[in-house]
Amino acid sequence: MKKGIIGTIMAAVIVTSIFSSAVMASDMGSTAMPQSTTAAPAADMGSETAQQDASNTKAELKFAGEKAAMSDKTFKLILMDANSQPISGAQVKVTFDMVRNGMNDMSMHDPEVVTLTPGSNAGEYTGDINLYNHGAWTAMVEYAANGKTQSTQLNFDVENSGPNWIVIGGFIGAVAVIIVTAAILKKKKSAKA
Amino acid sequence: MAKAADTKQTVRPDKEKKTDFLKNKYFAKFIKSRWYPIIFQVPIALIFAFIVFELIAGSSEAHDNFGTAGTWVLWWPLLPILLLLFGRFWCTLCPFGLLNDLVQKLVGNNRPVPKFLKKYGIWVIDATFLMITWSDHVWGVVESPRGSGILLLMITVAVIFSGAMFERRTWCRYLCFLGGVSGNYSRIGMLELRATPEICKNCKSQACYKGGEKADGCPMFEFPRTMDTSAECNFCGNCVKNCPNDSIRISPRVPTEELWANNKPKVEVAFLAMVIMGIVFVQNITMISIWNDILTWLEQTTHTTNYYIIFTITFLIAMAIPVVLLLLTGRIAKVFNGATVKENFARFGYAIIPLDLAGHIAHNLFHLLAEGKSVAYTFLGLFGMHFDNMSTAILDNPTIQVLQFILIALGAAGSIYVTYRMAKSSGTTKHIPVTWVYAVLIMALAVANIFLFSLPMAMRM
Repeated sequence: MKKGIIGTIMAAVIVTSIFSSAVMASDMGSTAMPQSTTAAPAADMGSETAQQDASNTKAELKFAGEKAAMSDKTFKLILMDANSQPISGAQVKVTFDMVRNGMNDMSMHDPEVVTLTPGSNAGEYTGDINLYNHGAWTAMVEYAANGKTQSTQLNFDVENSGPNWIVIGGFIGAVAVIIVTAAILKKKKSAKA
Repeated sequence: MAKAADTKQTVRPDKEKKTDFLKNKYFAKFIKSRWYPIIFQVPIALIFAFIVFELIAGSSEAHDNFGTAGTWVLWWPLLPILLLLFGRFWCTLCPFGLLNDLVQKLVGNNRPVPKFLKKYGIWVIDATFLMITWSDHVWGVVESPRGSGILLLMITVAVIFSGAMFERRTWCRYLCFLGGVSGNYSRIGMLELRATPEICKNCKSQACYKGGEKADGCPMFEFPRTMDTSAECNFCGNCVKNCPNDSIRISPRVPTEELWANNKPKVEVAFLAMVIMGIVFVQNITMISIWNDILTWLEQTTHTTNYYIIFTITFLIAMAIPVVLLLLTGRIAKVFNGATVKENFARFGYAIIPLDLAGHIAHNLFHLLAEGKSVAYTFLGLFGMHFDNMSTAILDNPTIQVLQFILIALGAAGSIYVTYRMAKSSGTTKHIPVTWVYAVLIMALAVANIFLFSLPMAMRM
């Protein structure tokens, strides 16, 4: 009976360890190779997040990670003119808000205004935003360059971030180590007795 | 058996007169049945598991997270009220205790409690409580669902370790910071479990401590025959089930009664009582509108904007003030009662517990009554219903403030009365001057609390 229990625990630990390692490895992979992608567009908002305003300026919003998911996020905004040339030296601010579904959905969260700082590349600007909930979001981009102030609205979906697998993996791993160690010690104690 | 051996038996003549709930055959039958306490433990454990899941995987915004609302707006404010009404009964329902028992049954090594823990466990609890409060303010554990979730997972790991390695509920008795606070508050609780010494004196089985066929021995390492405090009893009912002579009684009592004749005061318990007062101050100060002004002043004074440094200074000062005040008061009281400062510190530190509990309830009353509806909103939010623009308040702020002031007044009155009874029972002829000395301290702490509660406070959700 005891052998069965210990065997079951060992099997659980092995499976857990493999699972945790795989999860952590996949997470580390995405961290080591940050692949900025355009935020997933909302289904009813067209197929592209990048927008063009009246003067044919193109604005593109990118979040770190695979997709825009709930959490504090650093984001990049890329501004290009009609000739696809980067717009540098602009004063940029972005107003983030969740899409409201009529009068019955009046969120207590005020729209968050983020003032961006120039990024490492020309036409690139960065900022931080807490994407506090999943669902459809809007980003109202306002920028001033060459004496002109213009704005454009971007729409994107935020996915439920789900659990932090590093925390979950670490937790399960720690519990497994304790249980196995205790089971081995108990077995040794029983054998001595 | 160490605990049983070194605990002096205290018999008070009024004990026989007390109501015994176990005289009610239905209540006694329920406590003795195998369904108690598991019938409460399982649903609470399921709710706890769901709350942890929500904290880890739900909305990252406290405002929208049912786990945050359930933990910090509902459970945490209700806990001190439960402790006042039912002593440490919560500890028998606590999911961590149940987890400890399950792990113990599965792989428990049942090693004896390390001597270090027996000797210094309460100091470990004091230190852990301080550390968690500090980290909450620095890293925002309460305001962050993920932070709260990680804290609960860390405690879970520690509980599993304790259950796997050590006997009984070593975690609950010697390590749980919440258990330490609960133990302190339960000393003034309105429920007590005691054995009847006249019946126990001929008992050879000691099944209440050692365990029997019906249940394990006392999980909290208590020996009901000599138990004279409710600080460690969680009303699990094991002693009731095991006692062959029906010696155990569960009785209501006057709040604070246990402290009136406290013959074995401990410095570490008094220290925890004073630290809790400091923690209530910190909780209040950091939630009121003038906190930002204080921060600015501290930044200018210390020439740093590092929040770790600034908050740590504030924290240390807030913790030190009540401790230093109690030491100074003990020095003055020494003139009248002739006891040492250390003796006075240990004895009269217990007298602060009623004010501690009142301050704790009053602080959390704000969260419960000003944000209480958020529990329902966030729960309904799980089913897609949103009430985001609705008020979360159950009562308006002025009403809550009046309730807070009343609580502080009751707590101060309780503390002063305990001081009087303690001074009287200590044998000094000058118990009235001693009471006055401590009454001044208690009133000063009460006024400080009332001042802080009179200022607008920030919400958690």
